Amino acid sequence: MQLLLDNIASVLIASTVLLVVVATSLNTQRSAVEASVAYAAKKQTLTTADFLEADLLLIGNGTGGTIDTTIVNETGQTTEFSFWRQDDTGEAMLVSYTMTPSTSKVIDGQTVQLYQLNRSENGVAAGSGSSTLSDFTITMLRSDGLLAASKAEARLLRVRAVNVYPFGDPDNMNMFRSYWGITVRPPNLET
Amino acid sequence: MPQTLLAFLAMMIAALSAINQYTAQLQSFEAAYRSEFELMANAVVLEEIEIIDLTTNFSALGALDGEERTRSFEVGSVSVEFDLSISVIYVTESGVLSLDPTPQREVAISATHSRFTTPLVTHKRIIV
Repeated sequence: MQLLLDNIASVLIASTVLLVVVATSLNTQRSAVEASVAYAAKKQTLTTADFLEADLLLIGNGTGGTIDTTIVNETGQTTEFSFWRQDDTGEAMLVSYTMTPSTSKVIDGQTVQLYQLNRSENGVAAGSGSSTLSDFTITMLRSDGLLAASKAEARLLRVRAVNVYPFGDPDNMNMFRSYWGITVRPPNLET
Repeated sequence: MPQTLLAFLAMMIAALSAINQYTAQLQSFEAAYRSEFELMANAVVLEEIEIIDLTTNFSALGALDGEERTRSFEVGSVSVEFDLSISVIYVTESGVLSLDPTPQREVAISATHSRFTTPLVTHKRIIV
């Protein structure tokens, strides 16, 4: 009887230890994958952001025009933002940022529409950004920070973006979105 | 008896390992979470500095010293509120604190959030 009890106890203890070790190992792996996905998404967001910021600061640079077109859709997303700036040869060019629906993802039980950010120069495709943006807005502000009623009033541009992680399962991750924002003050909007 | 002690030791090691891993995971999550807030606070603070630079003349800057403001980062359905603290000091041409009035002032804005104990970001700009 004693032998039987000893065997049962040893099997129970061994199983418990094994379970804890396996669970810890799986958790470590999941955590590492989540960190990698978060890093990739953040890097993607910041790369797009850096380029966008540098581009927006050149609004009206060397040209007579500044902001050309801003189109906002029914959900408040900026689907098109166009402006004039100088190209490498000194000629005026129209740079357009457009948002086109790419795919959708279910996050927290809700289907979220994702968008691709495209960039064109004089109507010719010239670069693109993330294809997993759930929100993207460029808002024109007056110098006091209030919304500008017209392009002529705009002195600041408030950019806000949310990039959904391109990989992974939202149900098994603690975070699934990367936020970014900046307010730029293009020198040529002040004249 | 020795086998009981060994079993206990094995369970202790497994439990400690699990706790250690869980703690590291929490710290990693907290760091990632804070970095998201830092990016949002960064956007809010930079906007506030631009607005101050555009709308406040040099002589009126001193009145902003010690002022507290609340500003929100809003995008989509998300709105996160930050508390901003403004400090204004006179600085020399090389940006060093000056106790006497100089032709340039340094405006510093720090953003805090109730979720975190330390300021998320601080930005400074010298205004002439």
